[in-house]
This record gives sequence, structure tokens and C-alpha cells, in this order.
Amino acid sequence: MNGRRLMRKAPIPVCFGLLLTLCADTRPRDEPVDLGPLASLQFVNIEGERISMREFAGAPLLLSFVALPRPAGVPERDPNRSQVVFLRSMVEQYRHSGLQAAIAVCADAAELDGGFRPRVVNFRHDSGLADLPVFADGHGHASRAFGVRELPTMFLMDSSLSIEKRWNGVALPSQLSFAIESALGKDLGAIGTPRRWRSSGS
Amino acid sequence: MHSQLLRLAGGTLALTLSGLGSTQAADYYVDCSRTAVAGTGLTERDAWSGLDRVNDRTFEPGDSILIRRGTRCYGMLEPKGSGLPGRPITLGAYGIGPRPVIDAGDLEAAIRLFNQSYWRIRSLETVGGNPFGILVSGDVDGVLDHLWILDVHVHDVGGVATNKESGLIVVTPGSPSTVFNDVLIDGATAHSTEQWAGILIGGDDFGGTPESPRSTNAVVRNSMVYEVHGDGIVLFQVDHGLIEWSVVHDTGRTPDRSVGTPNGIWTWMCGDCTVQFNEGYRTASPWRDGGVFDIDFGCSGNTVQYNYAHDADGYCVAVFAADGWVTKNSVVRYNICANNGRHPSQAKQGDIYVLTWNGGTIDGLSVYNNTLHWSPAEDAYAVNVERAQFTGDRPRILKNNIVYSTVPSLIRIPAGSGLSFDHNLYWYSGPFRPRWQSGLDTANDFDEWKRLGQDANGLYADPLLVDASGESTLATRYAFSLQRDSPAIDAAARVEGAGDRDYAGNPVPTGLSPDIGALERRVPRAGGREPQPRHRDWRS
Repeated sequence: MNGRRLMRKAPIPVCFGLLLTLCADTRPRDEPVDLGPLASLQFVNIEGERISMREFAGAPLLLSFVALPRPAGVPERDPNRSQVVFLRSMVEQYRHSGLQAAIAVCADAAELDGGFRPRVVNFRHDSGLADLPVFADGHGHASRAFGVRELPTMFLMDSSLSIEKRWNGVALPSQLSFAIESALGKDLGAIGTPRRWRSSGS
Repeated sequence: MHSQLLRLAGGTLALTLSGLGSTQAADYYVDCSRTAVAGTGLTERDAWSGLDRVNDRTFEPGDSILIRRGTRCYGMLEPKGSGLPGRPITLGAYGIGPRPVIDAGDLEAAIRLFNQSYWRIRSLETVGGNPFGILVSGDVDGVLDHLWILDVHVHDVGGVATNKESGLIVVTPGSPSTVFNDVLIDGATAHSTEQWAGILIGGDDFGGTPESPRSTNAVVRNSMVYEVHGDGIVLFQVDHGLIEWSVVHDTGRTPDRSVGTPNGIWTWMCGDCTVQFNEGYRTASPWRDGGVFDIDFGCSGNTVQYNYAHDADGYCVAVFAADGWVTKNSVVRYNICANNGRHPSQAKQGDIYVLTWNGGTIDGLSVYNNTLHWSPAEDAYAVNVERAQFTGDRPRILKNNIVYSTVPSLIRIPAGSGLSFDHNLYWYSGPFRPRWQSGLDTANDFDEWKRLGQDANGLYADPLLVDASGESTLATRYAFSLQRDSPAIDAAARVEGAGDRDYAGNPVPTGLSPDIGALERRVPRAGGREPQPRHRDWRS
């Protein structure tokens, strides 16, 4: 999934209080029956477009649930900010191999009262996520559906939207990288093949 | 040294006193999309329309300068004034949308602070500047305190590097007696320049010895650096430094070594500095280096831990000493190194590289519980201790490491180094005979290596690593973890001060003894797959 694909969808007016809607299973009858149980889940992104999980079917998806980060620079470390950095690294390394990625930003009640959506919009821009789908899970429907118990939590889903791997807490890059390589079916035996170095090197 | 401390304290006092008698703090608004108007700047509707009014003003403690999101300002932003403890001056953004852009063109920098303290720069994008994107500097005889740079996007700095103190985000002294305290760079994205550094804190323009004044308490966190001609993230002459949870890639693109030979993340003349939980890849150099992590000469008490370095042209981690100075108490532990040495000439350095020159010596070196998957572009030693001189009586140990190699060369150490190898596990996956070298002695099997006085409790066996063995990652769930029958399980020695976690945060040990390598074996989930949520879970 990428931003362009999302942008092709016609915007669907939606009350912000229902940013994420859980619908009855409305899969078309001709849809493959082996999609995971989360396929019928629907998100609404911060542009107000309704996105079905099944739109991500067909290629591995890295889905990260994060808390809206505390204001940057507080003395203690915020693991949600760290998770975003590693998610971006995975996108940089594997998007050309077909990896999709998305972020669901969760909020507690206090944040909902304090202008959640504008903060999510600014978070998206300030975190370098402008080219990824970002969902505002303002009422926790999606996080409950995925059984998220702590934030951040990362899921790697296969092309049929089954959960291949789950990381509670920050998923580290080596863990992500090799799980993604397996999900993409990349030939791990190719490790050791020298990459092309620049001709400018000695 | 005493006089230096007095001078530094005096500098702090002077800066503090300069803030007394300040007026009430105010918020000033800038909207560069407005046509030129003489606004007061005190409300969004009466915002200043450009940077000139900002640059003309000396701001007071607690003030905020807020630039409208989604707009673009041209010129160099160089506001004056200093904040106070608890009352910093904020340079940030207001509104909803993309960060405001400061477009510096070919001016010196997009944002410049000079001899100023207690500033927080937040949520801005800069483009251009030459040779800096954001420059924080000064020439006071003392300390510049509390300089935070948060959630910035700095890119496309112009020009070509002529020295190492250039680049995207540069916090560097302008005199030998100027130092910084409490520097925090958090959430920065810095990329695309032919200048040198992605993020630099400190400097070496004025030379430096281990006794020179140093900046203190410098942190780089949650940041990304890529596509730079020189180094990714560096700390020079800093005490109590930390680089963590950051990613560097595609560094060292300079075509020649006239300025230097770059690395991904490294420290120089750094005391009590830690590099942890970072990822680095595709780091390059036109000559030597091109590695991901480096404890460079003059460092004391530096630790490189819990990092992931892969696909580098050069090494995973280096420890250096030079120019008559002693590099003390270096610790390299629980790192995962994979597929480095991609460039034939830089592969010669090895995955773990230890080198001294010009009379430099190393006092204390502990390399333990790292996992090396060494598959270089040419046959080269995985652990290469080249011409290294050691001194002192601190430990010199290489212990509990997994060295999995696709080339025969495993270890090289100089004669009489006093290095102690033990409880390491080696495996060469190819058809030839493996090679260990100690001085002029070469061992071509593990028993010979033992007869050279090393690794009495080591192993030469396939570690049965996930991935390296070809076993499905998902079957055992942890990349570079150990399969059920791995000989590395419970085969490591305890190391004093090793901590209680592995690379992934698992407790150490999980068995009777620690495992060899960076990851403790954990029992995989029965059935091998994650449980899937049931419909009723989320419909209820």
C-alpha cells in the first residue's frame, strides 16, 4: 500500500469520532476465502478516507501501532518515536521488494479531548511519514481487534493478511529485517553476494 | 585543569546573568506566505511576513518564535538572545500541516545560533545552506548550555566538504575554550549533502588532547541520516555522550579522501560515551574505514552495544588508538554484524577491527557476545587486530562471540598482544581450511588455535543460526537466534558487568549459563505461528 493508491480512493465523509469503523464481514463472495480474520477490518485515514484491510492483501504488510508521541525532547526516551525510525528504515530497505507499511496512532481519552486529529496530522509530517498511510485509532477499535496490549506493537502480516509476526514493545531492525525477508521470500542464501559499490570508490 | 573549570563556570554565570531582568515572555508568529507587512508578530493574524524581523530581535527567556506550517521562508534564520534554565526560547511551528521550510539557498546556514544558550528548535524543515544546514556555534570562553534540536528535517546542504566540521546539523565550537552542555538532537532527519557530516556534536578544528575542554551531556536519539559524503553521526570531544535508536545509511559518499575516511556512527576523544540500539548499513569510504561503528582514538569508557550493522563496505565495529594517546576501557557487546565488508579493499579491515598507529595504545578491550555473520567481498579476517599496541592491566578479552564465516580467515592478532580469546564459537562454511593467525603463527584447525594458547573453552561447530543455516526465520522466530540444538546454548562464560539482557531484550541467562552470541535462545511458540485474532475478539 502506498499513498498514491490511497489517494485514488474517493473520500468518504466520516465523523471524526468514528475514524475507525468496524463493519460486518462484507467481503465479496468471489474474494479468496483464505484471507485472515482481520481482512474485513476498516480504517479511516487522516484524510477521512475509509480503507479496508483487504486492500493490503497481496503483499506483506508491516503495521505499527504507536502512541501519539509525547512532546519531543522530554528527558526520558519515548519508544514510540524509536519505533517510527525503524519502521522508516524498513520501508527504505524493502519497499522496492513489495513491502507495504502503515501506522495506526492510538490515543487515550485525554488526548481525544485535546485535538487528537491535528496532532496526528502534525505527527505524520514531523515524523517523516508523509508517504505512508497513517490511521488515527482514536477509540482503540483497531488496537483491540489486534489484541494490542502495549505501545508500540508491530505486526508483520503476510499477503493473505494473517499475522506472521508480532513484536510487543520496540521491534529492533535485525528482527524486522529478517522476518520481512522471509515474508517477501527473498533468497537468504544470496547473502554474501557483494553489493555494487560505487565506481567512485577506490 | 582547575583554571579551565573556573573559566567554564564563569562563562555559565555570565550567560545566566545576562538573562536576569527579562521581560514577560511572548509568542511571536511568522507567516512567510503573507505579503510584506509591518505586523507586530504577536498574533497569528498579525504575524511577521519574513525572517528579517526575527533576525533583528533579541529574544527573551521563555519567548517562542513560531512559524506557520505549510509555508516557506527564504534566508538564514539567526535569532538573537538566550533563554534561562526552565525558560528556554523556542523556535518552532504553529498550525496544522507540513513543517515550515527555511530555504537558505547558498547562505551559510538555514538556522544559525551563535553564543546562545537555552534554545529549543522544533518541527522545522530546512533546505540549503552552505556549508551548514543548522549551525550552533560560539566563541565564548565558557559553556553554551541546553541546545535542543527536535523533529527537524534538514536536507540538501550545498557545496562540497573541505573539512569535517561541515554538514547538515553541526554543533561545534568556534574557539578552543568554548564547549557545550546538554545538547539533545531527537527525531532529526538529515540527508543529501556533499558536505561532511550528517550530525556532528563537538569539533576538532582546534586540535585536541584527552585533556582539552570537552562538551558534556550530548545525546543524539531517534534520528536518521543518509546520503552524506562524510560521517553519519559523530561525537567529538564529548564527555557523557549517547547515540541511540538511530539509523544511518548510505554515508561516506565522498569520492576522495582529502577530508578523511568516513564511518557511520563514531566517537572521538569521547569519555563515557555509549552507542546503542542503532542500525547502520551501506556505509562507504573512498579508502579505509567505511565501517558502521567506531570507538576512535582518545576515547575512554566507550561502549558500543545492542546495535545492528549490515551491508557496510567496511567493518561492523572498530576500536582505534593513535598519536600517543591511550584508548581506555572499550566495550563492544551484544551487537549483530551481518554481511559487512562489501568492498574488496575495505573488507581487509575485518568485521571487528582493532588498530593502533603513531604510538597510540589500547588499555582495556572487551569484545563479547557479538554475533558475526562474516561474508566479505574478498577473503579477509573476521576479527582483525592489526598492528595493535596494548598497555596497562585492564582486561583484553574476546569472549562468547559467534564468528560465522563464509571465508577461511577467522582471527588475526599480533604477537604478544596479551589478548585472551575464550568461549568463542567459530564456523567456516566453505570447503577450505579455516585460519587463525597469532603473530607469525598460523593455525589451520581449531586444535592448533588452542595450542597457541587461545579459546581453551571455545568451540568450532556450526552454531545452527537461524538464516545463516537456511532454516526458516519464522520457525524459530528470532533472526540470528539459535536453533534448538545449537552448540552455542549455555556455552558462554559469565562476563563481569555484562548486564542482564541480550540484543533483543531477553534476560541473560535464560538457562544455566549464558548462550554464545548476541541472542539468548528462547523457546519458540508452539505451532510456529502467531495466534490470529478471532472475529469475536473485536466485534464484542
